Amino acid sequence: MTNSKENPTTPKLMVDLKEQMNPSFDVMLIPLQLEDEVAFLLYLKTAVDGDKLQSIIIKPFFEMKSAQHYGAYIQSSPDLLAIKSEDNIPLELTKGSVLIAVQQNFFLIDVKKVNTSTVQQTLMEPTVYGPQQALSEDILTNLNIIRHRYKEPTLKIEILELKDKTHNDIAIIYDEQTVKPAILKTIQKRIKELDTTLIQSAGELQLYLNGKRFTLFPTLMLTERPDRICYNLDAGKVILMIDGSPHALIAPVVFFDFMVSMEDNYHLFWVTSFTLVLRYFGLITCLTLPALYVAITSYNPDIFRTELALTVAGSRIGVPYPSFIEVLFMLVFMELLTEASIRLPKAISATATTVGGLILGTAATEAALTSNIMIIIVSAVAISSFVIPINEMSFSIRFCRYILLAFTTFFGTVGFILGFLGILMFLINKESFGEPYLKMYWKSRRSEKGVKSE
Amino acid sequence: MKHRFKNYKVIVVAAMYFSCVFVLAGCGFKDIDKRVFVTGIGIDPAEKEEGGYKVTLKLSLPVASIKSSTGPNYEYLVYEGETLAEAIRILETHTDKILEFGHTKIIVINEELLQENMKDFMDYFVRRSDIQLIAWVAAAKTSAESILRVEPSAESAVSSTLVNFFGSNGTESPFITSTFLYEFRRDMLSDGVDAVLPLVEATEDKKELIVNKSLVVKEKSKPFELTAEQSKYYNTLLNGMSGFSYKAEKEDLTFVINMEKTTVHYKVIMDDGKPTSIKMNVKMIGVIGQSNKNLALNNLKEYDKIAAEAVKKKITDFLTTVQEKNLDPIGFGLRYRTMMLYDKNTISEWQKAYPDLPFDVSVDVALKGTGAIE
Amino acid sequence: MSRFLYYFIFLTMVSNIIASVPKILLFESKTGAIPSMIAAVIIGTIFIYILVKLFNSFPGKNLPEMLKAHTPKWFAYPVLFYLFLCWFCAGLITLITYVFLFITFFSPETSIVITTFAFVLVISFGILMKSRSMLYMAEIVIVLFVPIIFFLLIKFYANPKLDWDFIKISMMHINHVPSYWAFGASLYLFVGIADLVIFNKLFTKKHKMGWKQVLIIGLTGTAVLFTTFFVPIGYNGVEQIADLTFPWVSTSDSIRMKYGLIERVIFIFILAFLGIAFVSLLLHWHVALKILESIFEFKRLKWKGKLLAPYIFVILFGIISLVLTRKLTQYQLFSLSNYFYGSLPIFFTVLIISLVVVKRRAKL
Repeated sequence: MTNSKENPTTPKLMVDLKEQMNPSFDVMLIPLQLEDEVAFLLYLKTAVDGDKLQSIIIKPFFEMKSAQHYGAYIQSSPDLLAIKSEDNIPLELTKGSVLIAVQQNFFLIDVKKVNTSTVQQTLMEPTVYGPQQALSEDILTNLNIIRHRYKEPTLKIEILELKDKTHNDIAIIYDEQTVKPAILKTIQKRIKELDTTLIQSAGELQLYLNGKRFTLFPTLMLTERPDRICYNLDAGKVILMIDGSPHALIAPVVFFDFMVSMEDNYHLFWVTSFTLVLRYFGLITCLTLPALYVAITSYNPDIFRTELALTVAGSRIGVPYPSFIEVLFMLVFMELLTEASIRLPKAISATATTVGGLILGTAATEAALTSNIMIIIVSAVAISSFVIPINEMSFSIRFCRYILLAFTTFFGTVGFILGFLGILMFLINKESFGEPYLKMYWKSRRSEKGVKSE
Repeated sequence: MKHRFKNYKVIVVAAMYFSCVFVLAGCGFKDIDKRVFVTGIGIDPAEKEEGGYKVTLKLSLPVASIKSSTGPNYEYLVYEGETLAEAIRILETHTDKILEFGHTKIIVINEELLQENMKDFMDYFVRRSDIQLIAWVAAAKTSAESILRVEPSAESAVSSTLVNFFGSNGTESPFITSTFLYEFRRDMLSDGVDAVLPLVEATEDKKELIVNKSLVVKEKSKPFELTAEQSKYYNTLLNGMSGFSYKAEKEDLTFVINMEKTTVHYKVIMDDGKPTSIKMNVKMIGVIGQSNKNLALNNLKEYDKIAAEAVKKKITDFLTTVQEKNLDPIGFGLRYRTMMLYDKNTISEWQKAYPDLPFDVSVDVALKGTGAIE
Repeated sequence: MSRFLYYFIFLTMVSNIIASVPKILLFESKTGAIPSMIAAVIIGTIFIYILVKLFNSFPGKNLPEMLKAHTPKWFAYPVLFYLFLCWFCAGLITLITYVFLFITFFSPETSIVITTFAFVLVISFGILMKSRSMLYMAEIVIVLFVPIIFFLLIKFYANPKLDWDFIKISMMHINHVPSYWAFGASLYLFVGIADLVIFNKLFTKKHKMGWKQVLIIGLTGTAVLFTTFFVPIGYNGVEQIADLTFPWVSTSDSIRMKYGLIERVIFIFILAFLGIAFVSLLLHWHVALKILESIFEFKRLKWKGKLLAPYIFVILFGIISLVLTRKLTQYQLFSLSNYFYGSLPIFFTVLIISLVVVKRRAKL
């Protein structure tokens, strides 16, 4: 037995790499040796799947006739990755690949261990009849789900890698037949231009893709529902997915997209229309009711019929501050309640709402700190803001409410209407990747071709 | 590393927002509990000085809890002044709250005031843009103040009995004339029609209100009081009010018909450019409400005729009564004016001709049935 | 015809009700308003027809570009400035009239400056938007507010208190010579199409303009003008109609919604027309701003790569309207609108002549 056979020389590349990665405890450089045949493995113990490594890399080595056979076996592995350059190798190792050296050849095999590939239940956008499964935190599982649901050969998936420290994969998914090329190009460009150090979730990615620092309304939609993704793919939109996040991004979106629940596709026409009307009513209520209260009580009490005006006046007897403070005060407490019930563990949040909502509300009216009508308004506003199917939009509307409130407080009823028109105008002037954010969509869009987009 | 947003900026914006809210709110900002709603205005002639007015404002006070409150909560402000505007200005100093006229639903005017200088106070109500043009106008017998002060025991916390009389809000009856402020102004100022106001009276114990008479008002002449019966005809002819009931008699048969629907058409017959007569067609549909005898369904046609005859006589009676006083509450003059191109002399010609014009009334009653029994 | 063109036309038609048009017409109700209205409907429809046909020859171009390219400077600039003045005045009159009536009927306690400021604040943001957004804004406001206005119209016409005898009496005044001022005021209803001066840039397709379109415009114009003029008479009588400062607002106070949450229709009326007034103001001032920008191109005034000129213009617009709402009396406003409406025939003539000139020169 020659020396070399007993102690086969480790390839220099591997030694260097190990050096480079020290002092991490999990860097493993192990030789495989059976008689004359030698192979070396370099991997990170914490990143790879041990079982997989054992079964597809190590075990075959001892079953093969020769290292040559083994090399051929490795080369035909479906998980084989191309080695673009030597600098690239450490990155791939950290992602969960194993570097194999057989007969002076190097191979990278992906044996990453993913603990996050379980598909979750839908939490954010639950439906009664639709699919109950959401996405997982693993991008491959997610892509698998999409492929499984949208079996069109025109479905294209491009993978880009983020330049930040997570080096997460971003998948750009679109249906080649329906997607607008200009929008696709803008999105690809924006992603390539991303210049941030850490992007961990789809929500974060959305903020950076926006292109503006101060934005109030989301120009990309965050969703966890595979059926919504397929629905939007069919409509020609681009889906973005980032590894490690159970949400996908949809771009471009228009305002009305945020008012659609997937449930709408699973119900009868009139039922759907009814819920849709209900939702818009909720939107308007949640946006305008607090401002309307100020306008009615403090500027134009003569608008409502006498009986109602007297009832409102009666309920405000003894409230020691002007109406807008009352509104602001109650709204802020309502927001605190909502915020608290989101952040708290589920078991406690029910208590928080009960204590806050019921006890505080009753006590506040008993103590004449707010009027009864105010409590009704605040609860109506709170309920109706949950009617908006997509949470992001609901947050934006919640914010708009305060703008409208301020406008009304400054300028009275005229401010109320003007503020409302102003918000409309803001939405209309907004764009999501070149698409107007809010406009009327009529059934036949062909007639709109006459209008040139600027 | 780019920050998504700088926190301090947001805080500054929020602080500016709140300070702006506190500083800027104020112009025109007045909370509802600092206002008091004037729901009724009463005008009487002044007692102390000649030509002045006594103004009564009825204020509705809000109640903290409507369910537990027992009755209405009103306050009255009374002041005499030379003009309406002056008196109301003074009354503003009689309460700590701002007077809100936007909810004024009723304007009660003493009937003595309804002959001269009506334009004087009408001007005030129309010019004041916050008083509704859809406020009801009513004439008051004896005094407007006493009418406003009546608080019937059936009244509930946030409603006003007097208002519910009018406009089929609560009670519906052809005896009640309802006149909006704009209507009163329009009819009073237009040539060819005279305004009609409901006349409100109070019972002797000042507990209940009675509204079943009306007043035909014409500038520079004493208002003519329509009896309850005449008011009924006026309302039926002009507004087609339902609930009209009429007693018809023939030989020993007496029955009462309840009219459900009345349609009225009238025109001025012209001959040679001059009005010669007024033709009026009345169609009524109804059922028999009460009878002293058994009625046969196959005799309905006959009852129709009996009823038509009787109604026709009554209507002609009503029309000639007002004609004798040279009053025109229905607006025949207007109809006449629509029939020819504009000319300066149209109105004076009509005014000359109207008192002698004969009426040609035809009534067509169609009875649907005899009620639940024959 | 693109639906946006109809929006331009109908918005201006409807917005006449809160401008001074009804006041002027009713003022002349006994001296020839009716014949002038008939004349205005015919001539206005013809103007619209000619303008659309003329603009059809230049798809995707706006008037300032056309004038600058094909006419000498001494011709282009004065014409542009005149057009700017007209549009600015149109917007200004709408704004001031609306603010006046709002203050009178809605909140007499609020200061006029604050109310105007609220308008100026939102409008300034609005007119700086992209032209395309204007179209969408107009559409959405129409979708939101026009149903309310239709509802009100039904209320106005279905009310038994509307006395047709008065309307017929006023129709009997047809035997008069048309009055110029009433003609100008009625012509205002048809001025909306002139927004094409700027917005033509967005329309790359030719507009179809046949007898069908002419009929729609003519009939709508007639209906709107009829409503503008006769409904206030039906509610307020013939004799004293001219006394009312805001005839239409007073008329809207004559309707009562017995079962409505809001009993007085006047509030719904004022708020619904606030939307209409707003968009009409938005369109007018946007056109005015764009024309002004084309006249004065301050290319040097830049800050962070943005042209500052539009912002300065908008601030100027705001200051002028704030000052004027404070200074103007109701009578001055009335005569200002009267003169403005009176100048509309000239306005149409200038517009058509300049378009014809451009067309001829371009063909050379």
